[in-house]
Amino acid sequence: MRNRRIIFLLGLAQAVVCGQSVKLDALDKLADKASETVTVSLDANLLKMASRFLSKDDPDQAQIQKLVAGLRGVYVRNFEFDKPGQYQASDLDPIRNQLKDPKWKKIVQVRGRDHADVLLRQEDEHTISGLAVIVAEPTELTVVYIDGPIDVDGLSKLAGNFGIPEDIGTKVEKEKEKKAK
Amino acid sequence: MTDFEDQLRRALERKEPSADFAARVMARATQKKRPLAWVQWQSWAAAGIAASLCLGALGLEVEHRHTVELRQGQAARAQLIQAMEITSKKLHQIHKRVQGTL
Repeated sequence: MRNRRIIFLLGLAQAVVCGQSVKLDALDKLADKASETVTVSLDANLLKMASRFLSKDDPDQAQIQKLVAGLRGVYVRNFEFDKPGQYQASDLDPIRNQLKDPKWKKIVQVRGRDHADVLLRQEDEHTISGLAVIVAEPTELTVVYIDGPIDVDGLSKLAGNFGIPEDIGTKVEKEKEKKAK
Repeated sequence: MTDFEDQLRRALERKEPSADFAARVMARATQKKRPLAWVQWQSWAAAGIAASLCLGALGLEVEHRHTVELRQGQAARAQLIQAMEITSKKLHQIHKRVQGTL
């Protein structure tokens, strides 16, 4: 009983220190309706393992290796549907609710035929501890959650190699400047 | 009495054992048997085979763990690359949309 309390307190302490992680499990029910599903759930241990298998000779893989070095997890859910209307906007509510925490800052919001949001979790002015991307298209739904201190410069370096916008780092800096003003 | 009968009587007559007979029998009975050379060789061979089997099993276990780790590592690497590709593709898509509206 005492051990359980200690484990619970340790877990609580870790949650406070590391920040609350975003659970994507609520989306898994959509897999039945989707024609194609990609589920990636890599915790810190699996990331370390994956990182060991990345080639240092390949510049892209070497860059990924640097980028994921301090991360606690990478989680992706991607569903492709045969026709529109296979999922509801409310299916995303459990995810959006978790991102209502004031630490999460929305840096990009696109509304139109597609809905897209990019959010960053900031522990303080200098530390970005998470990235969330939600892209809802008529026949495709994607949610990405990267848990951990993201090296924005590293993310910028990955730009061009994987198509990541090169100014994503600049946007974060601008956001910081706005806050400072 | 014939000569033959005399010989037979002498041959079958009771003779007392020597005084140390009982001691010699007991000493012989309690004496540890020395293992035969082939028995010793067999024990060493059995121990050798057992040791080889243990080493072989250990080697197989190490190899199995290595294979499992390799498979898990490669699967994790593939997942990580796929996750990065999806993330970058979606960020690029958003970037294009944002640029389009500017």
